[in-house]
Amino acid sequence: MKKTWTVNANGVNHTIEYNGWALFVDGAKYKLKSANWFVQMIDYAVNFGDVQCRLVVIGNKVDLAVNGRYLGSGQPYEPLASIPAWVSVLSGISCVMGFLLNSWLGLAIGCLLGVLYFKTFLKKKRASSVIIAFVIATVCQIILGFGVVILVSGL
Amino acid sequence: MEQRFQNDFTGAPYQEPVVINQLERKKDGLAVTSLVFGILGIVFCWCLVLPLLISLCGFIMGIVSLVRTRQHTGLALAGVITSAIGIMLCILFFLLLIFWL
Repeated sequence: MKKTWTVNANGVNHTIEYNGWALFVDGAKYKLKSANWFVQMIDYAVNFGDVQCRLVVIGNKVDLAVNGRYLGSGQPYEPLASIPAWVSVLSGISCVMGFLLNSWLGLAIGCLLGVLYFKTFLKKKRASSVIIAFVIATVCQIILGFGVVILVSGL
Repeated sequence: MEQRFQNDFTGAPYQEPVVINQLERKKDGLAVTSLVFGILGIVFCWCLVLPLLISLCGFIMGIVSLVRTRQHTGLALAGVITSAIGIMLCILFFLLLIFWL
């Protein structure tokens, strides 16, 4: 997953490149560290004087915000630091429970659900939406788990 | 380097970029994982062996998180407590199974 952006700051063009594990700013390499063990969560500020850029990665979604607005989606920038820890806990539960119930498929679904919780919280800013999404996702994972057990026992 | 020469040629001053991790203070992976393992250990305590291992991992992670960082102690403490409850429930279910059989 490689993405490159060119940002003009005070008449000077700067290149920002993201390749999955590192950030390159005008050729200089910066190692990225995810704030979450289960879902990749990265929020790095790259400042060129007055121009403030934010590289935001949630799961497999990558976007660069320049002066408070994302270049890709056009949406206003929301700091990932505003996401509370319990959303990380819910995403972790979805990942590990998915793995316990449905093996690697469950883990993959759990990771996608984790991204969904983060995005839901950033969009709606309400705990209830995330909890409802978590409950529905957990019920679906359990149903899928029972389905897999029935399928395996029937073979 | 090529970029810098080009900028020098256009005459605009080159500003060194400042790169900062905005989530530096939120790196509480151990504490979050400890709590996740603790909760799952309690929920799946009836499965005996696997939740016991999960709870033990959660307990160790919680202790390590508490010792290593003085931040996020609430999460780490919650992880240690839930993991301890998970271990106790697993042992209780194990003993019940032995007596029942």
